[in-house]
Amino acid sequence: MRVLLLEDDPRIGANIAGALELAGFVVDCERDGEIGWYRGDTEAYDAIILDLGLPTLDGLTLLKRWRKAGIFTPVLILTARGNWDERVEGIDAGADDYLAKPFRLEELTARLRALIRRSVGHASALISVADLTLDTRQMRLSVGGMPVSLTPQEYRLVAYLMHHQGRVVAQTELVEHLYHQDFDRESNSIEVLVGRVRKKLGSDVIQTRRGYGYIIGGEAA
Amino acid sequence: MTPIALRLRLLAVSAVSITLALIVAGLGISSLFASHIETDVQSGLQDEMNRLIALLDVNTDPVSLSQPMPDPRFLKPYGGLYWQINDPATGPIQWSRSVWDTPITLTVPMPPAGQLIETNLVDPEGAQALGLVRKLLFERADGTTRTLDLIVAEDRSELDAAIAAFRFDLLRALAILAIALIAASWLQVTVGLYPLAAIRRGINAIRAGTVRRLDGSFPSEVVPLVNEVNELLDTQETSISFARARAADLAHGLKTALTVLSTQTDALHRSGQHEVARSIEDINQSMAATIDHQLALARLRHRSRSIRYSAPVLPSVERVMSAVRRTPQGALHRWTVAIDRSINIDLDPADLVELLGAVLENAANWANGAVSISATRSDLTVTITVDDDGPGVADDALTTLGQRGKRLDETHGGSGLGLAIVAEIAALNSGSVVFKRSNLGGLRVCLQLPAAA
Repeated sequence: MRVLLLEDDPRIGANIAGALELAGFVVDCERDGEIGWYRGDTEAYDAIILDLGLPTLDGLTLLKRWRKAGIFTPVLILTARGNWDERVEGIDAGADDYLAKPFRLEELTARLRALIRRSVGHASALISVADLTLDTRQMRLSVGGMPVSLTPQEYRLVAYLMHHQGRVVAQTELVEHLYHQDFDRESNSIEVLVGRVRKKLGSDVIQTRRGYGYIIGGEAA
Repeated sequence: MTPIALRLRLLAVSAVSITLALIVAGLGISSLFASHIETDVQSGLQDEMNRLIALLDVNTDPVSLSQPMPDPRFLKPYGGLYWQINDPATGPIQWSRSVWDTPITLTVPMPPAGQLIETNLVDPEGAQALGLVRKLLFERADGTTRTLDLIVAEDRSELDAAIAAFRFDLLRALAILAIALIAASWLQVTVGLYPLAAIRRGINAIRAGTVRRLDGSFPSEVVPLVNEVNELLDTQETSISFARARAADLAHGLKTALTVLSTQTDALHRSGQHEVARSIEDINQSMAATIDHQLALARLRHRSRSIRYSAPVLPSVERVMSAVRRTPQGALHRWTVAIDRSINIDLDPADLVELLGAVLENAANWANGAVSISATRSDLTVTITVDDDGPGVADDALTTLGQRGKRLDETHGGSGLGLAIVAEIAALNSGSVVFKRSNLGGLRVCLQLPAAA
């Protein structure tokens, strides 16, 4: 899952990014409002964490611009001001959740996971496809009730495909959501990754739609 | 000094000066009048004296008048007009009939021969009189001379009565004039001070919060004062804004530092130091809540009852509810709202959002699955009731809820400041908050606030 983090304080940014990466997210950090807006506008993210007090372009304006431009990526706003007027204004501007500073990273991670799940239509922290069950809180995958050991990258691949179950996900989309932006997009790392996961879960769990991409939970080709 | 005191001062000064001026004028006019009519009487007496001299026959013995003095008053006993001839050696020798049997006694020394003196006398009736006295040396037909003292006198009573009547009329006229002048000066003071009264009304309006500055056109003498007042207001406004901005900056700075600290506890958790991490997190939360509370208090303006609001309750409830429902706790519950769209309250809309935010967040944090919000309006009061189906609060603890820093359950999140802010906002707006047991099983928060007119 790829997340855009817009936070002007470098220490907070680094701490959040560190925790989110440990939790299996790919995190892009920006400290400037204008640049943040541009990245949110042009790149595909699963969620955006937006601090309202950004330099050059404040968070609320930026959020309204995205929504006006038809960018409906789930947004979690962070605010140092505890007043409700600002929180409500944030929600009115199109935010999906808010968190008042200071917060616990655990809380932020949980909120972010819930946000991403809700955005793709899953209400529960457990996502199931056939006999696969993904526990997004514990970052565990089990097959028929038996836990399967996955590397972080393998987990991200399965989690992304299970969040978007029943939909063909293009290889480029997977690269965008599983790797940092400076990743070499021409490499065959996705194919290698899919091959490794198939070895652990069975060859028919992730199906290939040749020329389109990969799918979990689709009808047999 | 207030304009009223200034007006009294001006009125007192003008009343005193008008009265003094009229007293002086009255005395002057009265004295002029008295002197004028005395001169008139003196002139009449002078004529009588000349007539007496002309009619006097010194060749007879005793001396006599060649014919009676024409004025009938000389003939009537105590008639008011008198003549008398004294021999310097023997005293009165001839007198008018009016003198009757009590000749006039002179109390002044006689003038040298030929001279005339004017004097006050006691007339035969015993009353005050104006007199002329003249000593004359007459030459008789036989060539001898005879010195005689001639006296003519007129009773003053008529003169005094005329002067008194004049003074009475004068007093009435001057009293009317004084009243008219004082009324005119009251009018002048009122018109003159009108701009100050306008300033007073303006300042009252500023105090009441209906206007921010003294506006309008004022006379050039008052403009500097108005400008000073406006500059003072601007300075005050700037100072308050500056202080609020500094408070907000301070809060932002502290929150940022607390956030850094709070995000670093994650590393402590990962290294297994959960106790230290949790203790830092607790301190962090409590500091953040204190900052929020103080900042919220700094934001609350002193509410003036002259500003009336009409904040619709339902849209504010819906907005705040939609925000709370985005939180993980809020998302789990079933929210029921029963509020008539026509209910408006007399409360700053921002304060209403703050108040609802704290109450609904509290309900979301404690509810098991249901939160219900309703509002009813009586004549002057709107009651907003928020119920949850959570564990509720023991009856004896209900009264301590809403007191600053009271946390009934230390294990649950929060600082106890949210409901304290609710109580403070309600109190500032002539409202109140009461905590009860809910029929859903949990807590019921009843907010009573003034209804919009």
